[in-house]
Amino acid sequence: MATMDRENKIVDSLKEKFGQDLLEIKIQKPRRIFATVKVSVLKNTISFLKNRFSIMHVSTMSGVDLGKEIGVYYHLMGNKLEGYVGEIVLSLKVTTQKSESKLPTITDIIPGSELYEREVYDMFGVVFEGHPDPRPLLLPDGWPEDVFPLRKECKLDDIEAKIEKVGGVGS
Amino acid sequence: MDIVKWSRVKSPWVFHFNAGGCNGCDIELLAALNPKYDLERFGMILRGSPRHADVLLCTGTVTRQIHDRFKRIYDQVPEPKFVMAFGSCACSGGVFQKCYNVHEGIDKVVPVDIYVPGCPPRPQAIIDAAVKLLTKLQQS
Repeated sequence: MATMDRENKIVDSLKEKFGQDLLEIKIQKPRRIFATVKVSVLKNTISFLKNRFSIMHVSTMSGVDLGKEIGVYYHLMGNKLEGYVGEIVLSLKVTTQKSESKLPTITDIIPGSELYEREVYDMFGVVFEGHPDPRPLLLPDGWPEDVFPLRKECKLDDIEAKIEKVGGVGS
Repeated sequence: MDIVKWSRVKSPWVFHFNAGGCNGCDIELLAALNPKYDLERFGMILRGSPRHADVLLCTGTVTRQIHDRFKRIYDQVPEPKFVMAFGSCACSGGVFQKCYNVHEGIDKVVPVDIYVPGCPPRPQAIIDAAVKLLTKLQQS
């Protein structure tokens, strides 16, 4: 059995530091932690994890449509220590209202998240405030600005009609 | 049979274009050209430019981003041109059907002469398609 010292230490100090703002946290299995925080402490959490535990590699970011809200996961990795096997993967989740989806950017703390934030904007329309370069990343040139293809309400026929309307590339 | 047609049938030059596939078909195609299955015994040789080609061999479904570029490449192939849709995606959209950023198959964009199904196609299917293409070249 692997010891869970590292995991418990991270969970305890997150609970202690953020208290009520840490909505949910659990250790799924060794080296795998899931946490949910309020948007107001998102940047603090990221910098805390980076400075205290050197969990500072963003493997990827993913979005999920939860109906009225959009969830954004930051999949962070780090904390490789002497005497332990492997790094810890911590999935940090925040939710934002779909009607007014905004999150603060974390590019000033972890510059590597720049492209992932652009991708989440493309697919889900989450605006990252303070992002240095918020151009579209993956969608084709001439894509209509108000179409976010991975949102549930986005239907293929609507997309095609809108692309026809703006006369985008590949229509 | 005039000399141009004779040489085309003896050695059709192929331009290979990936219009948005996963690279599986491309690897299979290059493997089929190598000595084990040896498509080059029919004189089929890959060229680096569409202007040198008789056959435009397309893999992958056509994404919206590449749509206009693909049409330009097609226009650059000199007449008479032959198009081979290589793999399930190129034939019908494959797993990308009903996706928001693709056209379902090469034939939605340009006329296609020969379809090679499979994901990716077997070497035997590729050789069969090559022989059928030669027949078509002969009849043209």
